[in-house]
Amino acid sequence: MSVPISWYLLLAAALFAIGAIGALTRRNGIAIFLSIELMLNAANLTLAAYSRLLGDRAGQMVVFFVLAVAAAEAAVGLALFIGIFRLRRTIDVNRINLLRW
Amino acid sequence: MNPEYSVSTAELASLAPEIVLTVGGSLLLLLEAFAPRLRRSFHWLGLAFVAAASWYVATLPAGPSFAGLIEASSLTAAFSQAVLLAAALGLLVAPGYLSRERLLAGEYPALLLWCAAGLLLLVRGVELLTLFVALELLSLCLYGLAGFHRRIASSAEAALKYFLMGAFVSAFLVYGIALVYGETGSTRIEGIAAALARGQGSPGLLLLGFLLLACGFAFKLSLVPFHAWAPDVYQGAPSPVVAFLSVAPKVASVVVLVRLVLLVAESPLGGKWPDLLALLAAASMLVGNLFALVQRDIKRMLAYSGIAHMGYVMIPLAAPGPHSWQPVLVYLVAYVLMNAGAFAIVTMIYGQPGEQHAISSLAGWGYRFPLLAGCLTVCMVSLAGVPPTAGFLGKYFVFLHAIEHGRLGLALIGIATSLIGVAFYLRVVYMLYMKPEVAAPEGFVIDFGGRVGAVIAAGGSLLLGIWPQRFLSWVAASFERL
Repeated sequence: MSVPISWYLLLAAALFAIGAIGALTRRNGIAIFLSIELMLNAANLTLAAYSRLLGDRAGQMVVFFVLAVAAAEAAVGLALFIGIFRLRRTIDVNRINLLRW
Repeated sequence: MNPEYSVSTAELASLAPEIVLTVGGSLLLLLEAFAPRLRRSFHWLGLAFVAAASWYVATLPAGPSFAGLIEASSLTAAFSQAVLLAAALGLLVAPGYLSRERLLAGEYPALLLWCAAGLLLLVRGVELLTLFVALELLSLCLYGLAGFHRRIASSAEAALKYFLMGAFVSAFLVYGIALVYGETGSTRIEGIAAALARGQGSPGLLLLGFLLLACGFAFKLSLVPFHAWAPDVYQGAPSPVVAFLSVAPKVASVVVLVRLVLLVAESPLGGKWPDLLALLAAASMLVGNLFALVQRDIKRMLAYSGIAHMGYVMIPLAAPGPHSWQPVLVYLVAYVLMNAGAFAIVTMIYGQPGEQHAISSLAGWGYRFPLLAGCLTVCMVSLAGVPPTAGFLGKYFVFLHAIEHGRLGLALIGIATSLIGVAFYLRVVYMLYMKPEVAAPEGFVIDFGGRVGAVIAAGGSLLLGIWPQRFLSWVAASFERL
């Protein structure tokens, strides 16, 4: 007996929710970014599962593009983290608060 | 996928504007590495590439290309020209600021050109993956531009906030794409429309998918529940970047949002969508105008005013149909001119970078900078929507559309909030001319390019208001073949 596709979808939904909660509650910038990566990969799992379900390879192709975009995002994001760490000596988002109301 | 698929030259030619911009950006980056002495001419070279892209956009044959992933039409051409106008203004005002801050480098025009390429793709894409890749291309360039002043903390902070919130929202966007693809079996807008018409897929998951997609683009537009980033980013990012960032991504994202809304509203799922958009529009107009009223910093004030303006742009979508495009285009062209113009002048007359751009320090400067203060006055009057300016023309068409299509309540909210808006826009003009000067401006640089940019933006806003016929016939021609 094989695992039904709906299980993959539920797992992906759970991972996405965990990532979203993590992104909203964490204070360290890198931890927020990791949570966002988790959300992206949950979306990738959903795409792959649907692709299998539909018997259509387009979904798997989308996954490769999302992976590449996530890598580019990581490169730019980490550069920004280094930039702000040099100036403020912290990446705690609660203490990065020059700009407000 | 067809293994024998190959790209024909005709298809490559259909990407000519994007190719020109991408190659232009890469070339500027190479010049920065190998011929840094030419730095002073980089922005003019960038402008030449934007002009070439604009020419290619104007001559592009209509129709789909790349197996229907992107399309060209008179409609996409009109919006693309608005994006390129914003890119040209962003390039014109930058060199003065960058050389004043000793940041002049090829990276700035390169990132801006790549961002413009992403924006053009976003305008022309009719497939979800293409749209996602285009959105990420432009977003990544904008994160870099927002943090371009790397020696001051407020710029780095603005970039970081923009990045974290943008990445968070793009995860929602991908999940939305996954759900829509899974339930309809297609990522093309046409294919999705056909599947929706057949009643395929579970309505709950599809609705969730479309809501997540709409969130992604509403974030770029800074519509109200997704607006928190805008004031911080506008205040912290370098002013010439904001002149571009506050207008060009909005033009392209509006196009995608209109496509999505028309797709959903014409399907069996579409019942509640017009009301939802009316709610977003009303909330954006109210929050934007009310919060702008209490701001002391001109860049923050313009950020809240931008939120309100996107609310006005959403009004025609509360009664969606092919007729919604026209008021949206008129409003966006007016918005590009007046908002980019306002930030262009802010770039030049505030000598200090960083977080402080107090409206009160403008006192009496109207007599010190006669030309720029005049341009700023025109932009403010246009943003307030007072005739005879482009801003009035845009508001007139938007409200007319709402009244003609049974959205009287929304039009009334729009008119009431515009009246609130007059108060804070005219306060800037009052400060410029009616108050005695408190502090002499220092450290400012007013260069030729910046002056040209300010005059183009302010003159354009005024001309569209006084002689709208030519502009309106251009707009009407863009919609003839729909």
